[in-house]
Amino acid sequence: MIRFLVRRVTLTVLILLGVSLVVFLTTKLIPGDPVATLLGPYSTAEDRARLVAALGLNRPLPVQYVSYLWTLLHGDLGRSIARQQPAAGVVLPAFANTLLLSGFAGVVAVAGGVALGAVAALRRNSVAARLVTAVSLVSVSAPQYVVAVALIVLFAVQTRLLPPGGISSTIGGGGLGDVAQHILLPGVTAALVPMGIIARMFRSSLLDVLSQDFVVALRGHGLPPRTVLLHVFHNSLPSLLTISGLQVGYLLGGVVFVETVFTWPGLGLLIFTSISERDLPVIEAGVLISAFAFVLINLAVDTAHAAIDPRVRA
Amino acid sequence: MPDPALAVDGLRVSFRVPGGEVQVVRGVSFSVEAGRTLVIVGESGSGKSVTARSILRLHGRAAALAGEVRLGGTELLGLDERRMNELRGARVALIPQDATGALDPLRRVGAQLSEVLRHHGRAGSRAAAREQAVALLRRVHIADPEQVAASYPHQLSGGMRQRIAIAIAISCGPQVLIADEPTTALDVTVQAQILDLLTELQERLGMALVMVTHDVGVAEQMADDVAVMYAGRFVELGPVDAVLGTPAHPYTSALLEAQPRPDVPRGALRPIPGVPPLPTSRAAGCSFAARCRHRDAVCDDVEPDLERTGAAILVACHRPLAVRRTA
Amino acid sequence: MTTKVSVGLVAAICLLALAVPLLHLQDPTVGSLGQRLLPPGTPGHPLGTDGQGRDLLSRLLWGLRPSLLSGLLPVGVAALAGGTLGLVAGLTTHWLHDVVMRTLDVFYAFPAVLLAIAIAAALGSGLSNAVIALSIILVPPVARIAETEAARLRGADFMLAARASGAGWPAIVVRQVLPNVAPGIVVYCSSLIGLSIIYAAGLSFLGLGIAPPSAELGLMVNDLRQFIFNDPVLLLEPAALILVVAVVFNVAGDSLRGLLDHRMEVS
Repeated sequence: MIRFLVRRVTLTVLILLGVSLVVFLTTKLIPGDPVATLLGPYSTAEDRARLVAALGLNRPLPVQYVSYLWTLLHGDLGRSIARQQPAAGVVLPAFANTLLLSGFAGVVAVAGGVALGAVAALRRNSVAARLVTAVSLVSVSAPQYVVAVALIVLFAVQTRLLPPGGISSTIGGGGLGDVAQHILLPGVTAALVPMGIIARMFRSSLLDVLSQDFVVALRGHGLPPRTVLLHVFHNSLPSLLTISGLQVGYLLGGVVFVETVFTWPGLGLLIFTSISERDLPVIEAGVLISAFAFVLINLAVDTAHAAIDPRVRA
Repeated sequence: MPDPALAVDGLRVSFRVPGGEVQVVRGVSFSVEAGRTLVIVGESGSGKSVTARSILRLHGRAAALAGEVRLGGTELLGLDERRMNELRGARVALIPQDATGALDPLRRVGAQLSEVLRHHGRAGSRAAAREQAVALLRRVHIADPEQVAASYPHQLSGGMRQRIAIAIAISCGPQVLIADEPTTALDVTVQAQILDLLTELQERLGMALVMVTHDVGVAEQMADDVAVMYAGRFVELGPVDAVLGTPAHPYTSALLEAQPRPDVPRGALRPIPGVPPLPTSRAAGCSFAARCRHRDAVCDDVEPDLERTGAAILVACHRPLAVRRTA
Repeated sequence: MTTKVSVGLVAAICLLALAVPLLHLQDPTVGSLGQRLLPPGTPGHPLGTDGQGRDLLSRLLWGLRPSLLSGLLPVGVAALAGGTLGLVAGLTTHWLHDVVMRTLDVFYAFPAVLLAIAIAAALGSGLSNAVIALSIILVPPVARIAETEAARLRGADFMLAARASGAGWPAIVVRQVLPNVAPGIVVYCSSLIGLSIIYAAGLSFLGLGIAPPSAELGLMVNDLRQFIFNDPVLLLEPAALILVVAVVFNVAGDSLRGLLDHRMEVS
């Protein structure tokens, strides 16, 4: 297990480096001369030359990358153009809100997916199973902004059951119950597609395990059906973990749309407004943080997987 | 006379498939006394594995069972599932085909043994169960049983896994042990060891042993009685020397001729032409007729019953062989 | 049967999109403010009008075109680029394979949508930039599938036979490798189309795709969001169309994949 962890952590560090490199390179994708853009059309050649030297843009690319990495390690995520403050101060609090939403959506997706998948696998030809399959198919295809919009129409416009957006009511809000009310619609919206995918995968994983010989053997030993089912679930856990980890990645990306539609003050909404404000540093910083979180979550998932399935550790 | 350890009478097993029902076992009857071994020999698709599993009613609702299966004095087919579960593993146990898949890949071997012991009440505490598990592994001649008990299945060899499967099966002292192709997935050298182990355990524990195999050599080594199964029925049943020495059914004879054996001269192997009929496409008459060298008109019309031929053998054939095999 | 139905629907949608200029629709970019937010069923505007008075039926149909284009084009590019990359990686065993695979791993570390946003934001808005961004994020999955398929073939006996007969690599690739890996890759790409359409509409929704006043389905969803309390149905129209198109393409992709699995099982 220790050997596995060492290998995995080393790989993680390398991937994190790679992620920072990719983000760094996207900043270099911007067409046109960034310095000229910053200084405007009336700048002189000397002004531009001085800014280039000040920003270090005349150094070779690898050197620029290393200095980028260095500032990154010191917690400096760049500077927001629109807000004229360090990007970290804007990005990190927003990220906390996104984690809250994603966490809630993740729990809903996994719980719902496991329940639906189990029903579809264990009651194979029933109406319930076929319904579940149909629902999974549609939910996998439904883009989140479509679902978001539909849910808002249903729950906030036609009926006034739930608030249409925000993290808390503007008047007298902020308590746990208030946030809970506000997190419900966006959370369910974000969870819908992952839930469909998890349901499909868990169902096929359960069916796969059920067809394995050791299940027959367990019954042959006279173990009660509940115990046999427990072992079947235990054996389906590894693939459930893997799928869930992947779906978290989907969630972290997809929240952009959900937060935008529901005006949930998270990283996704921040990126959306930064797009219209052309605040590139904030966008880059947001993408970087999300990717880092995804990599770390995957590390946790892989470690849990290895803890459960001894064959992976080899 | 005490009841035989296992008595099966007219067992029929059908599966529901799209389009109707398929009868895979079509009326099988036999009995095995304690301490004796019956080997059921047949090709794939003959229904022998289904027969074995049906004794423990492992197919659940997927299969419809008819007939009688008596374990000692207890009739099994009428029992409710709960009572049946109490008997499984405790009074009648199965060694599944291919032990590799028979063990839970995520748990240590010792834990899997302990679980069965504790469920059937053979051990009270975890510690007691652990000790018994190690003792059981030693019983099946596994060297360094503590190490093996702490290992996962994928860390062990095929032969070792088969021994563990045997250990689990005998853990609660069953009266009847059913082995489904116990040597098929193993190397030849390991096969012999496993068969010896089964013989030893049977003598020690006085179990009735029912083995299912396609390998005639296994029958020769292990059987007191042999049943030859074809297309869902027994076509021949009797003591091993009689059935394999002077087979009465053309299929048995053909099987023997098709298998490489030390006393058959080189070049004398004759494979059986054709393939066994699928359960879904059986015609009237004897199911072996299409492939039989001694076929007659009556063979195509009437399916022969299993009848005594004067010797100790029961055979289902209109024109049973009376020939002696040339040595 | 499902395969034929779904593929037929896919073809129907594409034909419809192609035929749009031939239908006599109202100008999708011009509207009169006196005609804004008319409900569906109004004579002359069967699906209503948007916030600027533009006819929705026309905008929906015209919007289908860039949506489909930004769904199909990136997948095509990714199939070529990713397919080549994956094949090369799968057929070699030395350092080239490792380099390619580890680089792909890094791309997999990004939640896909975010990377597309970062790239599209850096490049600037516009349809072509969105297509570039989507192509880039679709390359890793295609490359991975191509690599798996190619690696499966690498040890196959007929490959060894071809090499032993002295055939050069280009000939082997064309005659042995491509016919065997192409079906798998093509089928996988067809299942990516639905996803690409959704991502493309998503980018437009965020303001990163085609620019107004052009019609595009994702853009329309964003436009009409502000009128959700006035008339929610208007907003649901482009949303529903995106959903329908995505479902149709996904079902077609799924059944194609099922067909391929079946064939491989039988052989």
